[in-house]
Amino acid sequence: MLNKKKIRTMSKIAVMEKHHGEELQKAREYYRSDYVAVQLLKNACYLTVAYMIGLLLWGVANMDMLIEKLNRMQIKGILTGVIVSYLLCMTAGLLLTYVITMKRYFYGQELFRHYQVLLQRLEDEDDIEILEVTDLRRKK
Amino acid sequence: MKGIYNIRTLFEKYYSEYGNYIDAAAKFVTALILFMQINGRIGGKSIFGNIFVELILALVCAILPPNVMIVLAFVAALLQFASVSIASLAVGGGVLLAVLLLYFAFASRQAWAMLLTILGLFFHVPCIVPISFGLMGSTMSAAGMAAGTVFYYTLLTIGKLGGASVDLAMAKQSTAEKILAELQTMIDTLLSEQEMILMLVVLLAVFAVVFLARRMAMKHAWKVAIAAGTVIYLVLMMAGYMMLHLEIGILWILIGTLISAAVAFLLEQLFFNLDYRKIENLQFEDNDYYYYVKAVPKRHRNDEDSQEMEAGRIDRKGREHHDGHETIHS
Repeated sequence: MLNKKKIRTMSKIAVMEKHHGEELQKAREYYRSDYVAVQLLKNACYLTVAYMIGLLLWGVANMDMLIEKLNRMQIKGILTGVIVSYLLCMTAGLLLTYVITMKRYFYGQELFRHYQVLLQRLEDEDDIEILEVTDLRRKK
Repeated sequence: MKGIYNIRTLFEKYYSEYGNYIDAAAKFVTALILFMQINGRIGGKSIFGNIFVELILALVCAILPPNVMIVLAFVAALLQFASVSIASLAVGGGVLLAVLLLYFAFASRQAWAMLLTILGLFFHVPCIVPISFGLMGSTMSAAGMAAGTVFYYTLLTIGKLGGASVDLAMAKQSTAEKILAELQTMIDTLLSEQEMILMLVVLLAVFAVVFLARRMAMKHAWKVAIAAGTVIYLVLMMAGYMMLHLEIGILWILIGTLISAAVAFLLEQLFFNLDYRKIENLQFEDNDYYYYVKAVPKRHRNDEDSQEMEAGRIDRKGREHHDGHETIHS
């Protein structure tokens, strides 16, 4: 015999898993610090490569000025400029990443709480069914 | 108004039944137009210039996530740049790669914002995008729009300059100095592209205004947001073009603004408070049965009675409302 309430709850759980499976999995498997750390590391790599491309293009566009500075042995100035600009870009980028990641993490946690409510409801419905069978046996 | 209401009811009905096919068709058309525009603007002679290749790739994009369309558009642009000149490939490819990396770092879920911005700019109606996403998108849509704007202007600028430059066949005979000079010209032109900076500022300003206005607790917030966004776009574009002494295509700006406003009002009629859930086909099992469930969404009217009936369903954000009238088909 089909338990309609149970089917309804399982359907809702299935819809949630279908549309938000990735967020639910991450909320289940990651602590906040790990989740944020992975995103920061990934974005640090992307930002570094993007910065290097930008630096290369800037270097080509200002080749004359660079060669002039190298001829005058002002390597320290060039390196300082590169490092400072890199640190500024990385700071801004990673700060933005942190804010976005935290927002996504809390959204995932809220989804996971609703998911757990549905699971609890499913467990409760299973208990009700089991109790009914036990009651029938007792009546016999 | 009754006509629009009928269209909306039909749209809800057909989208709930055929939503997956409609999504695939939309992705196919978007991808095809995008690839054709990229090839047309750059004008190279790579394999991507072939219409059959474009059709096949558009079919691939129809069944895959929209981020695949962005990656393929990048590859198409790279191949077209390569068939024009080494300098085009170096500068255009470098800039597009940097844009793509920043996009995937911050806005990887905003593919449609980026794609529609590129298409809107191609067809001189960029205002539609910030208004539409300001009404229906999230804050990160701004990042997608910014990426799309830079992508478009890179294609346009390098495409224009690359056409007049040394081609690949002759590059072997050119000196390194000539190629370097060409690279420097391209980078300088791209960095001083004032129209790109103006468009970036204008689109983000319109998006911010529309986004904030539609969230305000007042009647007709969407209408106010659309009107404000349109006015801001017109004023900023005219002021920007005059201050920067750029060539004004006033007619294009006006026509684009009018079309954008019309589309935005249509979106408001069709999508405001629209229940766009699709039929869900689900499979799961328990200890006793395998279940093959087809969940058909109920349509609710937007009045006080339906507020109570709304309870019980889970919306797209995972919030559950309590409902005692659901039907499950299995």
